[in-house]
Amino acid sequence: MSQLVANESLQELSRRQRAVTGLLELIARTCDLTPEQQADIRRHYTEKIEHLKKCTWLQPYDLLLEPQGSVSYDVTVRPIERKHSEHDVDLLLTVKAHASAFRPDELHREIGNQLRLAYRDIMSPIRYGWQLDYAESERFHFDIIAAIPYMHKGQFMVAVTDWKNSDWKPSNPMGFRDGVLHAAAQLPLLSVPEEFSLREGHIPMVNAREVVVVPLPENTPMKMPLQRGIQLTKRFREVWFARRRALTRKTPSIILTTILWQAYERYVIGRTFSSILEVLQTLADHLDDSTILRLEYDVRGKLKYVLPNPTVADENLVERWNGPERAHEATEYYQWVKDYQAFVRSLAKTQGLNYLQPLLGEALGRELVDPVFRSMTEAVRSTPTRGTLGYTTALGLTSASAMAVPRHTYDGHL
Amino acid sequence: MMKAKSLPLVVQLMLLRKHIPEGRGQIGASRKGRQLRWFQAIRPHVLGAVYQIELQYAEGHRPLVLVISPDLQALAGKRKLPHTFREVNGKPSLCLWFRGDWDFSQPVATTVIPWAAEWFWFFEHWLVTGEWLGGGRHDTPITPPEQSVAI
Repeated sequence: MSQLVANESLQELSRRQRAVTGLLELIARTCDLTPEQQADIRRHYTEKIEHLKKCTWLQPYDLLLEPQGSVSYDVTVRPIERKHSEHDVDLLLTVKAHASAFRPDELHREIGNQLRLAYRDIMSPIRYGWQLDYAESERFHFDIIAAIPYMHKGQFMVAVTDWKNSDWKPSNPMGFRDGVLHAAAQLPLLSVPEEFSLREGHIPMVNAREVVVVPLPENTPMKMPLQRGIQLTKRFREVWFARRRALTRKTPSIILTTILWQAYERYVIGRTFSSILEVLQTLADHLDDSTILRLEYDVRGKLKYVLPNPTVADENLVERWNGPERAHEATEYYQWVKDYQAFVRSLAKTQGLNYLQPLLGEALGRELVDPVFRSMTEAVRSTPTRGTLGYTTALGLTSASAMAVPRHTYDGHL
Repeated sequence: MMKAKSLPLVVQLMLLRKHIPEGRGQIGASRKGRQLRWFQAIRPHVLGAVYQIELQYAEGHRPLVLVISPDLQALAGKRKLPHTFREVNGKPSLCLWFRGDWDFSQPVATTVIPWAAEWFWFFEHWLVTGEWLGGGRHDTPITPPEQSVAI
């Protein structure tokens, strides 16, 4: 049973919330792509585009291959169900041609033929493209989604190859990316300033080794709160469905990313919070916001779920929940969201590393959480940290300015 | 080499009050002679739990740090508490240093108290993992405080 905090001063609460935020940041960083992985991704898609350019059938057209999805707005989590915990990397291959130039199944086939010349043993068809499986060698899956430039309801976007139905499906991954990043860049107002680690570049660079070097969470600046909020929510979702052996039914990332993005715009931007943790709590609280994820009556008077895609007119991201085959996914969504909200609320109230570690491990996975706590605890005794470690009654052991802790050796039986 | 001069108990108390104004203590008599008794809350980290401790420092004897609350053994369950002496009045007494780490010339406020905070950090980690990451000597017999040789 967790030890709840009683009679805590506002100052202590603020310090603790800040430390919890730092702890979440340290845990979430283990989900980030390392600089080496990012370089590998660039190398791979450079290699793929060069290979595809050799395809005679594609030569009349300009090609563009770029990351989309979670990699493009820096919210990657490693899927639990994968044998090697490899990252999913979605790549959008835009073939600059008109929709009348060829059919979607033709484009899909020709791309497959060209890829097969070099990647036969690791490729397989997926819904809108092809998957290349580097899991064993490099811990990646690449999903190459083929698309053409497309105008849909007055909006300029792309259309992906729905090759099984021989149809073009409007999609706007770059508009989605830009929307998320634009919202994320608008930082919340804090009554007590906290530092953010600002990132540059299309795929931000992260030095994951900082997890070991920085021993104490209260001094760990957080990535943009919206991005971390999305990552932590996705990770909770992974663990929740994995425990129930139901990963095939997990809520698609685009749904929860859209809800969090909308919640961030409506309830975070321009408002003042006491801490980043409060921002994360606000985001969690609105995952079941009925003004974002709506229940409406259709023309037949039947209730249906509606979550408009902010970047594609008339696309309902939860249309699949309105059919009998997938109605249970809606029920499960609200169940795991309720559990996630309870988890985030309890983070603010739990005191004691011996309660926090199991709480976080249960929610986010012990394989992520335990090494962070271990690094933190080991750092207390490590030589580089000793010189900076101090003690105050308010903070306990801290790297803030405080009386230094001299070296000593514990005695007695272990 | 000249032995460093012992800090009088009254100076120890003054330094405790200076560094830890939230605590309270006094010097009185005990069966061992004059004794400083100091009570305070201590936490290993801003995310750690709060523990109530009593520092008992009889003149010329090894200071003892006793844990008043919470019940550490209840937290540990059936496991033996790490790095503790035998209980004093039913309270666990923490083994915080080995011979040579501390002498009577050093202020307890800037040595023993922060070492106790550290102990609780490693204790909380040990509760979850069973692993003590604080290092230390593990092959000496547990010596009851009454039989401790004055350092």
